[in-house]
Formats: sequence, structure tokens, C-alpha cells
Amino acid sequence: MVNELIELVNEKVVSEVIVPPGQGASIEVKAGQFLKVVDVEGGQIADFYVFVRPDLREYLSISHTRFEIRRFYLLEGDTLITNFHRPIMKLLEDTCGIHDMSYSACNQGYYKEKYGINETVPNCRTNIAKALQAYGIEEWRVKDPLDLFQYSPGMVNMIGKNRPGSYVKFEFLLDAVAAVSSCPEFELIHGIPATPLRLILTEPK
Amino acid sequence: MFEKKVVLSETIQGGHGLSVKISKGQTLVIKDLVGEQIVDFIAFAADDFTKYLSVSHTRSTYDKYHLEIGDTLYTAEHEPMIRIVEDSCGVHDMSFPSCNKYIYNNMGIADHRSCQSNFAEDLVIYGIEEWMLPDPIHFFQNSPNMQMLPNHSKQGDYVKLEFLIDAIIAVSACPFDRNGINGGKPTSIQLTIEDNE
Repeated sequence: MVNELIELVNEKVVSEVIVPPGQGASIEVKAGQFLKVVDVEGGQIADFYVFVRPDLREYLSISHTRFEIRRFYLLEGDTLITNFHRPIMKLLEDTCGIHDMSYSACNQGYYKEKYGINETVPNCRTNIAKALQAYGIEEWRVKDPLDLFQYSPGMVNMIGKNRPGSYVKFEFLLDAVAAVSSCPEFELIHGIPATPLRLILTEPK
Repeated sequence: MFEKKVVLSETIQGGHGLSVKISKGQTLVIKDLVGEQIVDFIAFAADDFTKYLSVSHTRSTYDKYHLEIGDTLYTAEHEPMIRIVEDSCGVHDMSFPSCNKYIYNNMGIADHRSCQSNFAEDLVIYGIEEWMLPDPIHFFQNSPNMQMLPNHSKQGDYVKLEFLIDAIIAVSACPFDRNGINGGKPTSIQLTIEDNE
């Protein structure tokens, strides 16, 4: 609450994007701007990707980030790292505190291999590729996500309990495009409907 | 009695790498010739470098961080690529990135060989560029909870992999030589490819 008041005084909203349930969306961010990812209704996993503009070969790398922080989880103040091993973002605030840095994004093959689902289903990898189509980023370039709000201690994938309105806020250190998918896995596997996410882009006044 | 035919046997000096094509059905043995040597390993489908061995998709399939005999290694499309047939060590890492020039630069070391540059040099002939490299499996690396501890592999320890598709693979005998990792000094490894019958 205090953080939100300080924000109101110091920052102005540049844009907002709603990620529809079970789908993806992207948003361009400039160095120095802040991006909030909000779990609007709670319990929703957000697969989160970032590619550096204009050279889209550089991207947020979960393995390089793990290497620098030497753990599988994020703490406020952590710096996230690209595949070129450069700082790309800083985690400023985190009202949830539980995210996953081990799982891949769900995709067509995952549902087939793990759950025997043969028909085409919505999935995070395709959602992200679609959201980044305008940038020429093909699906094979969609590698490992930061699985925001995913509760998977020791690679046991549990149903998340994050509260409605939980959010993470990143400060961007490089110009980039972020893409987010509202993960459809729990809807497909457990019948728990996917819910929307909100992306809020702000900058200092 | 089936006679297995050795189609390649190559020793790689510590700190260096090699890439090679392997056909479906062939097996690859990666042997630690001295002990405590990390071997970074990546693989691509021979006909399509957009298909690569993905450690995260392999982790996700099994919901675990470690490898066991019988495990299948998957592409990012969750297609079976490689099977672990034998493993005399049992401790490998699936969480670290390859060491790279940036990591050495951050440590104040200029112009150090790295697994990433080994891969980039060895794969350029296939049109695979450095930015495309996937995360590797680090055979013989002992890194519980993202620590870097002395490796368990002894002289002669090996893994044997069976290929389920035609592939291009690259290995790097990790050049990291600080903090006692790789026994303090990178050492040789051996690759052996055999036809199955």
C-alpha cells in the first residue's frame, strides 16, 4: 500500500495491457521504465519472457540468472541476466514471493508426452510466439520462461495460492519487449479456469 | 555375439571441444579420462538446428533436476532425442549455463577459453551461431542447489548415450580452472561412437 502511494507520487502510467485468460500479449519497455505484472484474480501462473531491442538475439536467460544469484528463486533486489550475461532487469517489488525458475513453458509436445493429449490445445510457448510474431521471433526461439506465481518447490508443480492482485514489479535496464502468457495448464489438466493478467508500464515523472 | 563397430574414437584435450554428427541408433560414450572433469554437452537435430536438446524440457518431463539411467532427453518440442543407457558416475548438472567469456570477464580474466566459445567455434560450420546455443547438460558437474563442488567423477567414469534421431552434438571439456573445479586443471576426455550392430 505504501509502495503504491509512493508510485502514485513519483511515477506516471505509460500504458496498460490485459493478457486474456489462457492467451498471451506483449509490451515494449524502455530502459528506466517499470513493468508490473499483476495476477488480477489470483492463482494464475504467468510465463514471462523478455527480448532485448533492437538486437532480439539477446534475451532474459533463466540459467544465466540462476548462475548469478546461485539459487532457484528470486528475491526483491535481484538482478536478472541475459544470455549475453548482461543485467536486463531488477526485481523491485514482489507481493507474491513464489515463482518458478526450473520448468519449461508448456507446449503442444508437453501435453502430448506428459498427459497424452493429442489435439491442439492452447499453450504458453505458442502464446508467446504469437505475441512476438511482429518481431519475427519464431517459436524455436522461445526458450525458458520465468514462471511468475508458479509454486513448484523441488519440481513438484502445485496449484498456486497467490492472492488476487499479487504483483511483481521490474525496473528495466535495457530496451526490450516483454511477452506474457496466462498459463492454460491448470485449466486443461485440473479444470481450473485460466484468468487474466494485467501489465502496467510506468516511468518516473 | 554382436560385434559393435567403433566409428569414431577421439580424445579431446582439457579446455577444448569437438562437434560431430551421430546417426540414429548409434551410441556415444563420453569418458572422463583423468577424473573430476566437467563435460558440457549440447545436441541438435541433424537436419534442423531449431530442434535442440532442452534441459528444461527434460527436467519438466520428469519433474526432477537429475539424470538417471533409462531417462530420455527431450527437444523443446518434447520429442525424444537421446536415451541414457549407462552412467558410471551418477552426478550431473542440469541447471547451470555454459561458462562463457562474460563470466570470465566478470572475474577479471580476459581471453579465457569457455564452453560457450568452444561450442560456437565447433558449430559455426553448421550455421549455428553463439546466440542460438541452448543450455547444456554438464556431465560430471556436482552442483547441488547451484553450488560448485568438487566433481564425483573418477578416472574412467563415463556416460553412454543412445541416439533416437540423427543429431549434431558438441562437447566441451570445461576450461574452468578456478576454485578447484575440474580438479583445478582441465583434463582430457574421450568420445567413442559405436554402431549398434
